[in-house]
Amino acid sequence: MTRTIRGLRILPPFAIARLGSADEPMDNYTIELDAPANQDRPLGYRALKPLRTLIVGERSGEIEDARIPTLPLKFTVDRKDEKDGKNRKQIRPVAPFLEVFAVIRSDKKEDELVPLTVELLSENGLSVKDVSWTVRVANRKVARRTGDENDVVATRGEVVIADHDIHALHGYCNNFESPDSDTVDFGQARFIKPNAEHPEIRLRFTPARGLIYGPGTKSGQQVVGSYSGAGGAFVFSVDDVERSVYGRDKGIWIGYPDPPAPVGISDEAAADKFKADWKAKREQIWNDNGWPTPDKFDNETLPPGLYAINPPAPSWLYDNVAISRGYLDDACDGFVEVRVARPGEDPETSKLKARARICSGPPAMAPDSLFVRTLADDLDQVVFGPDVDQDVDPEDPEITRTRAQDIVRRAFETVRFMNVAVMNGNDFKGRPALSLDSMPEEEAADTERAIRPVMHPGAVDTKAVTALHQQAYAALRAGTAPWFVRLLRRPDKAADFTDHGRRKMPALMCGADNNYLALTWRQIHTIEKAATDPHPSAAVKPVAVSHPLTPRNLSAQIHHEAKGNPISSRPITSVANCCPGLEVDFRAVWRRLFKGIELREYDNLVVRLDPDKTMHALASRDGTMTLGELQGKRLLRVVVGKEEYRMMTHISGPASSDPDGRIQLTTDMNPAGLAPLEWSNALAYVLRHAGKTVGCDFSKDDGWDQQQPLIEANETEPAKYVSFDLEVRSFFEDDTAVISRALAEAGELTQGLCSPWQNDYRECSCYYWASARPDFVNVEFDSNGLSAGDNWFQRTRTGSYVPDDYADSRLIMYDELFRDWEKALKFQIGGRDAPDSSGEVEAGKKG
Amino acid sequence: MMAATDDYDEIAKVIATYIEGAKTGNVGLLLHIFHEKARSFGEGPPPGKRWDLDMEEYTKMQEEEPLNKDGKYRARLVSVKQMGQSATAVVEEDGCWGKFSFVQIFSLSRIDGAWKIVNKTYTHRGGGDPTSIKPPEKRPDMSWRDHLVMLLTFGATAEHCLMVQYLYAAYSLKVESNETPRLRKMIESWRHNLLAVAREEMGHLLTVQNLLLLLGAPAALARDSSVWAQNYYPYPFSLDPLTLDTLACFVYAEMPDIDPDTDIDDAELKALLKDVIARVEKRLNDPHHRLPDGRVMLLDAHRVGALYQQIIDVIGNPKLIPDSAFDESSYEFQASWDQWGRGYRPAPYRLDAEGNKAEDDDPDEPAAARKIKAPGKTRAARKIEVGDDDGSYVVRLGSSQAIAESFVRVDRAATRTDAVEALHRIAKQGEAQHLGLNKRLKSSAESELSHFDRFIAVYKELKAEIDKNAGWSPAKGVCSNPTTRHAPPPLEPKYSQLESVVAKRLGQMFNIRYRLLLNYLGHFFQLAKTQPVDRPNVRALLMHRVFGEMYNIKTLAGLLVRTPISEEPDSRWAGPPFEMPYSFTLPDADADVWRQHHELIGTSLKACKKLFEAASMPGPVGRTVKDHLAAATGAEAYLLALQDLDLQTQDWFEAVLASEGAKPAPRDHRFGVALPRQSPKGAARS
Repeated sequence: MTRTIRGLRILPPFAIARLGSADEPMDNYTIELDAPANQDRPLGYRALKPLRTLIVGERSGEIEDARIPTLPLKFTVDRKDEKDGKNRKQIRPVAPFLEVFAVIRSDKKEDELVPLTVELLSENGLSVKDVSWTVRVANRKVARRTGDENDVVATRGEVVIADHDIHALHGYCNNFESPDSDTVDFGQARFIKPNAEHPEIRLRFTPARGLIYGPGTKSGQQVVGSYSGAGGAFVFSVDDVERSVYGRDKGIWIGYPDPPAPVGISDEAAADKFKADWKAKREQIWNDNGWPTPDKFDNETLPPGLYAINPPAPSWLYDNVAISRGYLDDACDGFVEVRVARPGEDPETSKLKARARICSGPPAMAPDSLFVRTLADDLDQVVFGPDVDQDVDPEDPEITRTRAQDIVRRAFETVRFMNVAVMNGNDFKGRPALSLDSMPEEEAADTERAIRPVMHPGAVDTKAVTALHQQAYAALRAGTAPWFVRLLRRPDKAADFTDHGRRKMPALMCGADNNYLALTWRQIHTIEKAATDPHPSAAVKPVAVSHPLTPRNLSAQIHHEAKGNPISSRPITSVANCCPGLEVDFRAVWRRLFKGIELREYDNLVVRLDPDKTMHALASRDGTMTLGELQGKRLLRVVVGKEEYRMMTHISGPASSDPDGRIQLTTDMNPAGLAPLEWSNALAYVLRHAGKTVGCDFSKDDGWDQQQPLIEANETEPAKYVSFDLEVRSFFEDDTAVISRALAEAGELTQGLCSPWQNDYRECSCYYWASARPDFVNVEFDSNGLSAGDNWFQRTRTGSYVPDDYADSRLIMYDELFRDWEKALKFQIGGRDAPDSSGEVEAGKKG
Repeated sequence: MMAATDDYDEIAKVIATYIEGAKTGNVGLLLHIFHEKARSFGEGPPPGKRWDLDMEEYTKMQEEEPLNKDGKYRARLVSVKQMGQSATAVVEEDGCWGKFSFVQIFSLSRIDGAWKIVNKTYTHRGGGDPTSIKPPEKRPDMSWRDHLVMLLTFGATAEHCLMVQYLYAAYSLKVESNETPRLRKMIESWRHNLLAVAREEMGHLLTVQNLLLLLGAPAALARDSSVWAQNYYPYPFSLDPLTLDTLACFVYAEMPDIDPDTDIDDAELKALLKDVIARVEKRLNDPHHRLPDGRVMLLDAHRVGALYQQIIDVIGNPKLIPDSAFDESSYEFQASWDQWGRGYRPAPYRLDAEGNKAEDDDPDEPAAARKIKAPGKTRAARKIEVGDDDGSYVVRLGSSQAIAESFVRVDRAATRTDAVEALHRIAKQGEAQHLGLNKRLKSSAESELSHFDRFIAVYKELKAEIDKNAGWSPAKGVCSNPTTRHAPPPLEPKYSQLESVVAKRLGQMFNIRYRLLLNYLGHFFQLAKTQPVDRPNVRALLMHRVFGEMYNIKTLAGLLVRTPISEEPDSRWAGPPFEMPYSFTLPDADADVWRQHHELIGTSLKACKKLFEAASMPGPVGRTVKDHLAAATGAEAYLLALQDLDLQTQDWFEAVLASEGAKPAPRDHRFGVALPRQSPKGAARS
């Protein structure tokens, strides 16, 4: 029976690589619930289970061996540093494989997805030599801030791979000191040579080492600094930057967002001119790239800053002065593409091709725990939609219960890494909560109101709250219907800062819109459905819901477990409350969902227009405005028939005069008292209209630096918005589970992340991603029966938690991370510091 | 010497007939039970006026002036004494003609096999509102504060009893896949409403505990089955699955002080309430639903309301309870809604710029959706006017699915005024709307749903379903009054013994968790004033444990109602026993209290292990246990998780005990799973 190849897919369609400097990639593993060893402790940490690891011969490029490693898994290795001879801890990178699958039609009436093998190629008159790959990756973090396309660091075009050698992925940048020779090492890609035991077609992407790059020293003065109050002990001068590549006289990254100090210029007039020239250069750059003038908006990210700054840091402790050091990192994202061309056929035009996305990010530091809302949840919502409708898409109650249980399970896996008392906004041993980082503190700053703890301050103990969540999970395991639906925060009420709103679940954490975190609509509706389904007729087991792998089953493709790939390469281990995120900034994919405009990734401001100027002539429904005038306007609402979806919500808070009342919270900066809603949920219902036009209501007035309210017409005044009909782009590329290139080019999925990413680990607290960037570790009961443990970032483990005020010398600081993040960050296994590669726990040093 | 009251029932029936006849002016009833030559003797009102009447005069007076003409008549059979063919009976009456109180003393004789009243004497106790007894009576060997604490204890007991019965009925409902989606939704909404009321009763229970703390009295968490306490229950305590009869009792207990015949014009509501009362009357006469001493409880729904009025009258009187009796400093240690409310209250309403309630509560809501939800159209409000303006009620008779979430009130009190207001809130929320309402409270009563509203909505729907299908039941064979006890002594017929291995063990575990819940709650109050409130403390952690045990109760109840009660084929389903331990008194020393918690957890672990052992026994016994465990879908997974949690909890108790320099009894690692101890700091857990 001939199996005719009708098309190709690369699976997984989105693979995450994890940075690390060790030469040997991380072993393959997964994490299990209900593992035999854990059967008697079902509420414990997931068991790490070694899986068959594919060993690729360095010379041969073939899979020479496949073995299951023994426990304990080694996430790090020790290597002697060539410079100083000391042992250095190195983290083993996660280097995912990308497998090629063929769409075939066999005797069965439906198309199938099968691995593309040497044999299948042969059946179709093809061979391995007809297979080639291209890889294009980029790092746009600097360009995101500066607005300068010359700051994009990218492979030069597409790296073509037609052999089985290692191909380095070099990132070039026009603003590097020597644009043709200075590069950033983004890692490598290799077309694995198939053999008899492993005849499948696959590529391996090995990420970079997690290095930091910065300004060149070939000209100009070095930038040095020290932390005030720390006696200059943590100076990290540019000399320590291993890769000095960024052109000092190029671009505007050094010193961004303001002109750098005019070094070597003593004359005041000349210094003023230097600054003026710098500003003019920026204005020109923005103009060339379609941005508005800098006096209208500053193109900040959310959160702002998110890059290495000249000391002292963080900026908010020092008058919000954030001067960029000019650092960048070696994280990247982009595409791999496979092509199969017949002899003589141009691969460019071959119909047998497929694409996938890759990205590289920090290691999964708590590999046995999963976050309550992951990228997998958001992608599931894209694939299946936000509703879980029994009439439209019937699902067995057992499956719905399984998914509901999984959410609750991940909730307690998240909370056990949080020092709940501190995150609640409690004072800490008499120190005011305002001096510590938490969501209530953020909320107080944003709304210019007094800080208030979220929950009753006496009741917030980590182990106690974890146990309560576990108790709820145990009840669900018994088939009890979830009773806590009303406790879930609605995504469109994320800015309800009354206690009624803040105490909703998930509590105390930040969402992608910088409001309190909400689950996806789909997660919420899953729990709602489980609450009303009949009692399950069979035991509900917390196993992964599996779907058959078919060309039409996009979810199965997204969750595909390629051979040899650890679970940390999959979206289930990537956080989704991207503010900005760790592996990807998922907010970025929504910016160009509506053809003709580009929105800001974190709110409804139209920042740019489609480069195709023919679209700019599109008129509004009432003919008073054209699309070309939408830059600077705010997208207020999307209307489809009788459905309407608002892009903002009113910020509300408690009324001081009436304990049963709430008021709208406004500030001078936000007189309308409006907060944007995160895209993933706000646009979830719009996606089903892909390919069609929908009504988009925009503000009539500019809203560069302020939200604009949606004002309907009344008896005396017309409506204060203008309506356009815009086409909705498809989220995925046709018939695939690959996020459309039209939505995000190479580098755009990571451009909103911190530069370098190590800076984010220092600056963003656990209330963003507790189970990925832990806070509370080594937690036990203290002598008072309360939870006690260490701050993940404290240098010496004492069992006495050090709260993070960003200035405490007992905590790891920026430059230590920049210098040796692999040493500073400790993996957490079972909620405790994992032994290092020697099997010993690093001895604590008394401070 | 007092003889045994062999004919108690018959005599009580005679008295019940008297009450009904006197209440309604039904001469026929009166003539049926009075001897033709009987006479009535007594003085007042007014004082000095004699009313010595023969039967003709007496019945004429009753016909013209029925005692309940103002709708406030109450009567209680206080005692019956029989000596052979003679007997006496004492009845207390209040609210006669709206405001008079009497004590009636009847002499009875058995004539030709039937008991007849041969003489009646009475004492006029006074006039005035029956709901405001002047002065409140107390025993001479008690102080007023002591009497007040006793009344509050009864109040807590009554709340506890009601709550547990509501929970049982809610847990008896099973939403199965073979029901139609329409019925599934309906059953789910019934359960939702029952649980909502139970939750609000829990709030009342906590409020009463706060008042006890205010008075420096111990917490009252037991369910009192004494004769004293039973006098305050609207009907005899019984754990029954949800049937129309059970629900009729719930409606009855929460209904406003109205007479359907005279106070209600709405035909539908009138018919429903008459049906309710008829069912309750029939039930009270059922031998299974007598009081513990065998008496038939007389129809009087408002005992709880009357009790709260007594409490208000006492606590509100500075001559009875001086200001010094209130411990203001207890306020910050009282249970607060902030800790215990779990978000169960209406969402805050939007205020406009002037600080007034805004017309538009959700400016983000699409205009189309706002138009659909016009105010007032989701519930049919029917106003019932009774007497003066303060006596009117608003009853909502709509769909049970349209009813909102519960509003758990946990009120604290620092002063007498706070206490009175808290008690009024309890009364308003469900028990006794016939009380004079504070004007401010009354306005919110217009929008807040009462327990009566919820129950009557469910009753209406359940009745409609049963009228359509007589054999149908949402509770599907769940037993009544399950017990883990076994003979001897013989169990009364009303109890259902949990005989199967699985039902017995799960029932035992249920009782343990119930006891733990109440122990944790008692410990929480016992630790008042010993822990800081502004930072994490073990007292607050005990509160979390209370909620954790609530989840266990819910879960185990769900497993029990899916477990056969015995090994017999087609046996009924079990249910949660809610059995009381021998004592809820906690030890004095704090370390001993922690040890008791630790030990109870160990007992639960032991019961769980025995169940697993039974399941692994070879042969038919093991198979049967496995089958029954499988019938309670998810039981095994839950028990394993519970075991894990219990071991963690024991770790916690041991840490607390260590801080007090005390050690628990050694854990018996034959029970549950022996775990490695916590590893040293920094090392990965193996």
